[in-house]
Amino acid sequence: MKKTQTTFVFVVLTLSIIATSVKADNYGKSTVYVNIPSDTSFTLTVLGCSGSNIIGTTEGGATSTTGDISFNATTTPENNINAQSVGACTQLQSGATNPIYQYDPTGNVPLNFSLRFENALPAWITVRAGGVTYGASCSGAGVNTVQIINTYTTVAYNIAQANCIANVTLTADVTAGASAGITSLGSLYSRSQKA
Amino acid sequence: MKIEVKKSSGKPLTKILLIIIAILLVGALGTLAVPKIFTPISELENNRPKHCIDDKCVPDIVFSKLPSYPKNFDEIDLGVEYGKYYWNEHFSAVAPDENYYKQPEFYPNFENEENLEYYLQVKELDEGRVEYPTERVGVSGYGTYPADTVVKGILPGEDLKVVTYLHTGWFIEKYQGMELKPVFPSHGDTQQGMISVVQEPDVVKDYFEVNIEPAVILLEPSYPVFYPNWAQKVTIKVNVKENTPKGTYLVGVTPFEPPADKSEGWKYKYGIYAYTDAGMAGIGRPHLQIFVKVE
Repeated sequence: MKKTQTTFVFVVLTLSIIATSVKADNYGKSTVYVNIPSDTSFTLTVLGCSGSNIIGTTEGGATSTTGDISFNATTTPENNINAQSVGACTQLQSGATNPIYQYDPTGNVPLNFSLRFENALPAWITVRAGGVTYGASCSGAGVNTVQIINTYTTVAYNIAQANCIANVTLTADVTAGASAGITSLGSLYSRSQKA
Repeated sequence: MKIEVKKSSGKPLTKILLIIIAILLVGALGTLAVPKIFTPISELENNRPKHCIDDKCVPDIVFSKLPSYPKNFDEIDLGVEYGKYYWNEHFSAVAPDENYYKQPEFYPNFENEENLEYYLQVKELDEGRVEYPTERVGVSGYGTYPADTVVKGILPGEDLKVVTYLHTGWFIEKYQGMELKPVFPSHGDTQQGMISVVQEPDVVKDYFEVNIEPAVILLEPSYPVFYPNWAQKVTIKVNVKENTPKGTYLVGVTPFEPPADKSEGWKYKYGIYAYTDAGMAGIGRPHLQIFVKVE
């Protein structure tokens, strides 16, 4: 009798373990998902107008710039034309301390920033990027001096997520064959005035 | 003195059996029990912490367009960080998912001093107006969180689903239109080096069918205040085709310019000072990387 009861206990326990396993299988899956808490966000700023802006919070995006840039050539040929922002005011970049672009990774992934223009540039204009990194955590980071074209070209590399910003300047060379007036190149505009 | 010796009658063993059966029954009933009842209204009171540097704090108006900050926000935030939610959704009965993923605190590094500096410069005026500096303007910026997902144990013919949250970068004043598209890079790895993949994009693209919902997205500004749709949920469904060989592959998702008709419509609605197409700046990798290990 005792033996029978012991066996019964064993059977009940075994069944309960099997039942538990079956239940676990309902919630488990052979496919495993591993989410890595990385964030690839970034912020790109351009030169705006000096001072401050006052808006109601119902008015989204009351900015002073279109976000586009232009190169204003006063004669041709002309080299090393500084980029300026297009908008309610004209803000010309002045070296790498006041650059046309600042790239800042705002998540937690170090990023390599690249730039491209929407369309292929005419033969009479060449645009170069350059600049410096700025911040306390820029070890191993840098900014390339490179020509910008209509496919992505790496401008700044290994920019850390905290306390490192890439100050990126854009300058253009315009040849004597430049078109007069404003030439739109997608997000790049060139204003050229022949001598 | 009389000493009685009682022979075991087996009753204690019966009692043990009854107790075990009772425990099992209670356990079984527990699995069928009605889920715990929450009181969402009281839990949804605004519980957002103050963000201050020295004596200066980010004004409340910066967050005024966002859903309420749930009481259990920190618990959910930690759960997402530690990968406790397989599908990155259905976080809690306390509040809808958007009450969590639309909070800037949901994303890494919002509370970094460098990021908070942007928002500390916002001054709340009267009648819902704000004042903020304009020397530099945030014109482009976005990212996904999580940005890397590893899926193991998938068989040819099976589907997988990944949820990520696409959000505007900090300090961005523009509405940004974009279209998310699948990309198949020649190589890629996770940040921690857990997995590294080298592949032939032209071959691999035929192994997967990728459906992104929604694919065309308008991200709203995150400055000077956070607008309601500054962060949005994106679901990616991937079908691994039957002819896919065993191996580890990288499926990327990244924003490009939106379709021309959408771009024109948004430009018309918001104006050229407020709207821009995404896609000018690259970051050297897809914004979302899905590593798929096909068995």
